[in-house]
Amino acid sequence: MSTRTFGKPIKRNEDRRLLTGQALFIDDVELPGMLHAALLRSQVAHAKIRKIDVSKALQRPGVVAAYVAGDLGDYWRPGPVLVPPPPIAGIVFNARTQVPLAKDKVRHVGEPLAIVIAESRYIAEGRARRHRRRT
Amino acid sequence: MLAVQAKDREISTIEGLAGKNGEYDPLQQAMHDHHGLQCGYLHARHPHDHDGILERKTPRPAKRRCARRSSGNLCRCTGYQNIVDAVMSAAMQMRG
Repeated sequence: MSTRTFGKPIKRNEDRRLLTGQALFIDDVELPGMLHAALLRSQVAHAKIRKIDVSKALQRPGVVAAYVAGDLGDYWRPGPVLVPPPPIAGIVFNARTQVPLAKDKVRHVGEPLAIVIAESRYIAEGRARRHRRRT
Repeated sequence: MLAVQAKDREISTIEGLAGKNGEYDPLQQAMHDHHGLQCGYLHARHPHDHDGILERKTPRPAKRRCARRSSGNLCRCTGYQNIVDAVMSAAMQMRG
């Protein structure tokens, strides 16, 4: 067994850029034509969705798109099983994965209801938040 | 702190800590040695939280004081223990 990795502390290779302010985090990334997405999330744990109206959000300059579950067409479906069950004979595995946006019903606080795409994070968040206030 | 509050003041950022040839200052070195960071996301601020302690060259800064200085910086990676260890170590080293 190697004593290089066992029994003594290991110095991390990534520390230099982190300690000298050179690290690149997601928030630092700027790409040409980049858009920002913000989610409108459920404030309640369990409720029926009567209606989500995104027309006002779309009127705001800088907002590129706003979607609810019904707008997603064939894309609206439960996501794939990312971690398949272990190959054990006779195992019962009930796959239950998340849908991208809640349709008809929310089942937990924070479940995404709508997504706003805008030219800046500021506009996207602002639109999503205004929505929250009215619902 | 708002930018306007820094008017006419000197600002030092994390980029200004290392020496000309990229050598670590004592706190950076101690952070590296003691695993005082993991994701490093908040590291642009951590050293400045402890500037006062280090500049005052408190002979033996209290651990609790170091911990309190860190309280405005939510670090979910290190659990603070290693940060406090690093600050204590840097303080002792700077004291010589």
